[in-house]
Amino acid sequence: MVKSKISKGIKVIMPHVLIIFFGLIMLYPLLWMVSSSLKESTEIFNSDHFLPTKITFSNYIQGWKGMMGVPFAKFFGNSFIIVVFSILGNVCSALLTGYAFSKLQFKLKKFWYVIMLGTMMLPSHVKLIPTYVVFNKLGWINTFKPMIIPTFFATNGFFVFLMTQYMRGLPKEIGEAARCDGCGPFNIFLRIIVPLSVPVITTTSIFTFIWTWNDFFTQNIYLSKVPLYTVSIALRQFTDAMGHSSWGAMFAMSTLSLIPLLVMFIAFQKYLVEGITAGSIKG
Amino acid sequence: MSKKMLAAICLVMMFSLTACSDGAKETNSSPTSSPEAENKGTTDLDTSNEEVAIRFTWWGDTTRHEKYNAICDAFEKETGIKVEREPNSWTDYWDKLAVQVAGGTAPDVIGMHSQFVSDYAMRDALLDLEPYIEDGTIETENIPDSVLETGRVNGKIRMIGQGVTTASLITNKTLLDEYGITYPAYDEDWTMDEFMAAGEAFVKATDGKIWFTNDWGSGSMNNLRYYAKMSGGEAYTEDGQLGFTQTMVEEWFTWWDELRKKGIAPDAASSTEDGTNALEQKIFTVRKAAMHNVPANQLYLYQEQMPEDEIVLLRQPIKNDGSQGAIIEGAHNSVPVTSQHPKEAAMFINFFVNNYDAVSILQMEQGVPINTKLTEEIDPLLSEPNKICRDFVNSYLEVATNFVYAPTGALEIDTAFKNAGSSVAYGQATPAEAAASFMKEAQAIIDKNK
Amino acid sequence: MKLNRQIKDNFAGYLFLLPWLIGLFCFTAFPMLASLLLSFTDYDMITTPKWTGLDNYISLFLDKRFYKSLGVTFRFVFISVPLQLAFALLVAVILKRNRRGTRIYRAIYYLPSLFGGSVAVAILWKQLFNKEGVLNQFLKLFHIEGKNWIAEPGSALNTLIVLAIWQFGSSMVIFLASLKQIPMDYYDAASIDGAGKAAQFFRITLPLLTPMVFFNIVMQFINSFQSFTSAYVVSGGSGGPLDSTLLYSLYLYITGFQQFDMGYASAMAWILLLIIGAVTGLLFLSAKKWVYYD
Repeated sequence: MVKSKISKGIKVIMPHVLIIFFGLIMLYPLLWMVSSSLKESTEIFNSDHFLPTKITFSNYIQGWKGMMGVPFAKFFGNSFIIVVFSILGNVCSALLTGYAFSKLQFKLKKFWYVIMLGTMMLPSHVKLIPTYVVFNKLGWINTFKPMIIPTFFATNGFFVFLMTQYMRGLPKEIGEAARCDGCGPFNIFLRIIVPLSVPVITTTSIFTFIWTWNDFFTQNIYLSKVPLYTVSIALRQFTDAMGHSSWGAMFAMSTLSLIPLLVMFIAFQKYLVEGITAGSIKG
Repeated sequence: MSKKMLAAICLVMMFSLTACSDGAKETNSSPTSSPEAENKGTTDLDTSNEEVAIRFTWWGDTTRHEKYNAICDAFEKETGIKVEREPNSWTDYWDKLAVQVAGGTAPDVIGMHSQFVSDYAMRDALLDLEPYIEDGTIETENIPDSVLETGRVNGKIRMIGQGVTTASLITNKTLLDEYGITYPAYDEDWTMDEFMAAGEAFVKATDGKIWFTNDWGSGSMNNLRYYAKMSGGEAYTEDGQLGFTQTMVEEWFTWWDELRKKGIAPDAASSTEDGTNALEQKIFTVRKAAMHNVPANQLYLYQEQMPEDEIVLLRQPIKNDGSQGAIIEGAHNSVPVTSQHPKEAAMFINFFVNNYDAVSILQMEQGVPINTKLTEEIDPLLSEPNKICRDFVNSYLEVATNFVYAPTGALEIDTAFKNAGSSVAYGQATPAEAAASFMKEAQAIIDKNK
Repeated sequence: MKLNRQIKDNFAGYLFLLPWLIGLFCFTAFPMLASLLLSFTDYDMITTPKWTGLDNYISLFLDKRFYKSLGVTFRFVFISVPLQLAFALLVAVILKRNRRGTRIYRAIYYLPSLFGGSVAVAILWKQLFNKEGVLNQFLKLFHIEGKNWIAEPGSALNTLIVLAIWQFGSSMVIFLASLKQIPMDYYDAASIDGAGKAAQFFRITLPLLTPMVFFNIVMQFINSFQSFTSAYVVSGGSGGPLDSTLLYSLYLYITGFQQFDMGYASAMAWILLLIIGAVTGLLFLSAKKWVYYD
C-alpha cells in the first residue's frame, strides 16, 4: 500500500524532474548571459566564476544610454513599431491566402501554390540588391516601410504555407455543414475558419515577433540613421571585430531585449493550445 | 469579430492598391533621376535647397561612434554643412556598403580599408581626389608624401588616410622579463633566426606552458606580402599578377611549421579558436602567449585589458640578410563617384585630417594622425600607450614602404591562402604541397578575373 | 448553373488570393527574376552586368569549394532536421496539456529559439564548446580529455548541428498548435476502447498530426538548406576551420558580398533552388502516401 503510494509519487514527480533537468541544459546559456550582464566587464570572460562576485548594474546603465545621444529606449520603440505592424500584416495576409489555398477551388490553384513554395527557396542574399533598388525607387530607404509593407502582401511564404496546412487539417464537415446552411466563402472564412485558427494565428504572431525582433540583415540595410536604429542593429554596435567590444553592455541589452519576447510568449502561449474547444464546433 | 475582420481585409486591400499604383508610378517616373532626389521624400530635415547635407559612414565600436559623432558636430559648427551620420560595426558595414554602392546610394564620405579598396577603386567606384588636392580643398602641406601615396589605387588618389599604422608585435614585457628573454628595443630590428632563438628560450623557460607568439603566418595575404617583400617580391604586381614565387610561400610555411612544432606558436585548433575569440579571450590577453600580431594602434585596447602587465610594441622579425618587408597601413576616407556633393565631401575629409579640433578628438583612434604638425600639437593629450604607439609607428615608418594594392577579386586568393596555411597547421599537407596547390589556385583566380 | 458556380468560385478564390498576388508581382517576382538574369552575367555590384551566358554555371561545376559546401550542407540538413523534429514532437506531446507548470516549461524549452543568430549566441557557443568550455569541464569529471570542438575540422559542423537542434522551439510551437486540432472525443473513444498512451499516440495523434508534421518537414528542409546565420557567427564568417562549416548559403554570401561576384552567387542561388525544389517535390509526392487530410 505504502509502496504503491511511493511508486505513484515517483511516477508523478519523475517527469517533472526530467523536464527540469533538460530544461536547465536548455537554460544554461541564458543564465550565463544574465550572469555576465551583472558582472564587472573584466570578470565576464573569467570562466572561474559562473556567478558574479559582485553584482553591478553598470552594464545596464551604460547600455541603456544608447549611442550618439540616442537612448536605447528609442531602439526598443522602433523595434516595437516594426513588430506590431508586421504581425498585423502577416496574420491578415496569411489568413486570406491560406484560406484560398486550402479551402477554395479556383483555376491555376496548383500553379500558384508551386510558385508560392518556390519563393521560399531562393536564398535572400541574391534578392537583396534588386529588392533594395525597388525600395529605393519607392523612396522607402530610411523608413520602416521595407520591413512592414511587404508583410501585408503575404510575401513570407512560411506563414502562407503554415496557414494552408493548418486549414487543410481542419475537419471537412465544418465547411460543408456551413455551406449547406447557405454560407458563402466569406462567411465561412470569418465565422468558422478564423475562430478555429486561433492557435495558428498565435503561432504566426509569435514567430513574426521573434524573427522581426531579431532580424538585423534587412534592418541594417534599410535603416541608416541612428534615431531609426532598432534593437537588433543597436546590439551589433556593441561588438566590433576591429575594435573594442562592450560585452557587458551587449549582454545587458541582449538580456533586456529578450524580456519582451519572453513576456509575449508566456502571455500568448495558452492560445496555442486553447483556442475554441473542438467539441463546440460540432454542435 | 466579423466586423473587425472585414475592416482589416478592407485595409489590406486598400494598402495593396495604393502601394502598387504608387510603385508603378514612381518606377516609371524617371529612371535617371538622382538617388538624392529619390531620398528627399523620406528625410524630413532637408527642406531648404540651400542647406547642403552630406552623409558620412564609418565602421567601429561605440567609443569610436561617439568620437566621430563629435567630429561631425565640430564640422557642422565650423562650416554650416550638415552631416548625416551612419555608423556601423565592421562586418555589417561592408555588406551594407556593397548594397548601397550597387543601388547608387552610397554616402558622400565612406570609411575605406585596404582590404576592400581594390574592389571599389579598380572598378572606378571611388572618386579621384587629386583635383581637390590641387585646388586646395584638401590641404596636404603637413602630410608626408609616402602617407598620401597609400591612397593611390589604380593610378589615382582615391582615399585619404584617417591615420597611419603598421603591423606590430604587441608584447607582454612583464612576461618576457619574468623569464629573462632578451628582445630588441621598439625601434630596432631582429632577424627571423633571433626571433626563433628567443622563442625557443622562452618555451624552455616556461616549460612549454606559454606560447611565444600567436600564429600570424597565414591570417591574411598581408602576412605573405611581408615575407615576399623581404624576399624581393610583393603580393601582387602593378599589372595585377602574383608578385611572389612558390619558393617564397614554401619557405614561409616551413618557417611557421617549425615555430608550431617547437611550441613557439600555438597548434592549429588553438589558433583557429584564437582567431575568432574576442579581445578579452585572446591567448595573448589571458597570458597564454607573449606576443600578438596586430596593427600598432590597438595597443591601448590590450593595455586597458591587462592593467597588471606592461605591454610594449616590437617589430616583426626581418630576414636574416637584413631585408625589410614592413608596409604602411591604415584606414582611409573615400568619396564615391555617385556623390552629389563631392566638394563638401572633400571639405569634410580635409577637416577630418587637418583641423585641430577634429584631430584632438580622433587622436590615435586609427593610428598616428597623418598631419605631422597636428600630431605634435596633440602630444599633451595622448595617453601613455598611445605615445608608445606613436613613437613605434613613426620609427617603423622610416623603413616601412607602400605596397601594391590587390587586383579585383583578390579576396578569393586571401581565402585560398588562409586555407593553404591551415592545411599545413592541421597537418593535412606539407609546406611544399600546400605552397604548390596554393600557387595553382591563386593563378587560376587571377586568370579567371582577367 | 454549374458554370455560374465555377465563376463564383474563381472569383472568391482570386479575391482571397489578391493580396498575395499583389505581393508576388510587386515585391517578390522582380528580385527573383532579376537574380535569375544576373546568374547569366558577370556582375560585381558596381559596374553594369556583362552577359556571359552559362559561364557561371559551368565554372560552378568545376568549383571544388562548391562541392565541398554542398557536402557540408547535405550533412547538416539530413542530420539536424530529423533530430530536431523528433525532439520537437516529443516535447510538444509532453507539454501539450495545460497542466501545472507546463506553461513555464514551454517557455523554458522555447527560450533558445528566442536568441536567433545573435552575436550573443556565438559567444555562448564558444563558452560551451571551447577547449576550456563547459562540455570539456563536464567530461573532465569522467577523466576524458576533451578537444576544441569548434576549432577542429572534424567536429566543428557537429557543434552547428547541436545548435540547430537546440533551437527546436519553432517546430515545437507548431506541433503544439496543431495538437489542439485533434478533437478530444477521438481520445475519449480510444480510451473506452482501452488503448494505451503509446497506442493512442500512434493510432490517433500521429496520423491526425501528419499535415503539420509534413509542414514542419518541408519547412525545415527549405530553411536548413539555406541555413546561414549560425555558421556565419560561430566561424566568424569564414566557414572554417578548413571549410568544415562552409554551409552553402555561407559560401554564396562570401562569393557575393566578399568577393564581389554576385553573378556567380546568383547562379549558386538558383542551383540551390533547384535542389530544394527537387527535395520538396519528392516530399510532396511521398505525402500522398502518408499525410492524411480529413
